[in-house]
Amino acid sequence: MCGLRRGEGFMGDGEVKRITVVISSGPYTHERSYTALRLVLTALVEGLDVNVFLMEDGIFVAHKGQNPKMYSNALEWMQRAVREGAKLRVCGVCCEARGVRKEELIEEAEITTMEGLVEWIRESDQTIWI
Amino acid sequence: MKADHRIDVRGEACPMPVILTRDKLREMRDGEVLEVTTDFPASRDNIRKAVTREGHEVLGVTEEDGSFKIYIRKKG
Repeated sequence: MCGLRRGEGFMGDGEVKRITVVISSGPYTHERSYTALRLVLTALVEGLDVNVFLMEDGIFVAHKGQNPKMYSNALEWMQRAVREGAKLRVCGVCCEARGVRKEELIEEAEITTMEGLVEWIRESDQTIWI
Repeated sequence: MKADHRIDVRGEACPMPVILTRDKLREMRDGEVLEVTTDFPASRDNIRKAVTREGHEVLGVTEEDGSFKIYIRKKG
């Protein structure tokens, strides 16, 4: 995976320039969101355009005020990805279901709907669901 | 090999070694040398590829006691 140039066959034979990574697992219970964020950052470093869509418990990746004592801080990874150019959308229905308000998420998070995800899927060369 | 700056990325998960190396190079001046210590062969290779791609010069790589030191001259 590492070492490819932009559009040089990342995760497939076709030319890939933009990926959408859907994160549906929350931080600190399983390793999935952490692994997803490592994938996101690596793709950014490799020069791909990266969209991150948070849904289900994955919305907590963008929740402010995380302060894990024993784990790598998912919020710091997410913010790092945003600084590196990742775009971030969060499922509004998933937030409502969990009682999470927009102001509890980082400012870069755009609250959106399934249409927002479909739009990104349509625009992306690959969509990865983690 | 003499270095102007040093970072130790041992224990960092991919892609942090590359990111931390790139961050440090951005702080440095043109021509300065950075020594990066890593303990994972894949990180060594990733760092070498990434900095070369960004136009910097890898002066050499040494190995000692399971750790690698990569010497990079900042360009530009």
